[in-house]
Amino acid sequence: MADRSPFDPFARDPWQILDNLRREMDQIFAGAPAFSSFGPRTRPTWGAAVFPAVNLYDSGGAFVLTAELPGVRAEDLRVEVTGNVLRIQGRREVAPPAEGAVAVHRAERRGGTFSRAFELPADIDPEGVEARLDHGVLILRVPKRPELQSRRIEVKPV
Amino acid sequence: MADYQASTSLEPRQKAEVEREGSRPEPRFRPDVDILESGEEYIVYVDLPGVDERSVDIRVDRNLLTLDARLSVRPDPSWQPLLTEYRLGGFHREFQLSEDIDASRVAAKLRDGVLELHLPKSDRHRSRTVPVQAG
Repeated sequence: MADRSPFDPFARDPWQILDNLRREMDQIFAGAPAFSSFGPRTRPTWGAAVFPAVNLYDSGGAFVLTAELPGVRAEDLRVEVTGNVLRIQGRREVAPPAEGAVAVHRAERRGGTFSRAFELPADIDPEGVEARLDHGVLILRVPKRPELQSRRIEVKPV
Repeated sequence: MADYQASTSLEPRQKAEVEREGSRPEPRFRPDVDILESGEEYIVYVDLPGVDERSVDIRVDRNLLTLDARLSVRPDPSWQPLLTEYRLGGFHREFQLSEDIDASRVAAKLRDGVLELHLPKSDRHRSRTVPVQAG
C-alpha cells in the first residue's frame, strides 16, 4: 500500500480541496445563534456523518470546536483556514503487532485518514484560530471579531 | 485484524455506552481496545480520549483486568453548547484473560489519549522454551 490513496490528506492539491468542498462541507456554524436563528441549534440524535464527530461551543469571545482523536499525533494533524473554510485532516495510526506477538485477541481500534471541512461564519477572525491537542482531544478556538463579542452594558442609575 | 496501513478513510462510529448505574450522572463508554499476547505478556492498547494520567484506574486481580477512567479534558462550564455530535463521559471495561498476570510488574503508559499496558504473565504461566538435548 505504498501508493497514495485518493484519501491521503497530505496528497491533495489545495485548489482541488476547494472544488470538492461544496459537496462535503459542514455548515455547523451556520446555526450558531449569533449569526442566524435565535437560540442554540440542537440535533435530535447523536452522531456525525463524517469522522471525526465534533462538538461546538460558544465561549462568548470565540467558537470552540472539539473532537476526540486518540492516538493522533500533532505532526499527523493539519488544521487549515482557507478563506472562510476551516479544514481538519490527518491520519491515525494504530500500533502494528509487537515483535513476537503470538495472538491478537482484540483488534477494535481503527487506523486511517480523515478530513472534515467547516464553513466558517463571516464574522470570525481567521487569523486568530488556535488549535491544540490535549490528551487525544483536539480543541480549536475560532475567535469572533471583537465587534461581535457580546459585551455587558452597564445600567446607570439616573 | 485492524488496518495498520492507515490508508483507508476513517468512518464515524457511535460511542458504546456501558450500562448506567442509577447514581451516576454521566454515561460511561466502552473504549476500543487492541489486545495482543506474546509468550511473556499481554499488551493492551485502549483509546481514552480526554483522560489524563491521574484519571486512569487499572486493577489487576489474577487474570481479571479492570479499567476505569474519568474524563479530565472537559469543556468549560461557561461555554454554551451549540452542537453535540459526541457525548462526554468516562470509560469502563473489564477483561478476563486466559492466564494470570503478575500485578507487581504491570507497566502503563498514556500518550495522546491512548493507554498502553504491558501485563507480564505470572511465572507459572509464562511459556518457556524447553531445551532438547541430543541423546
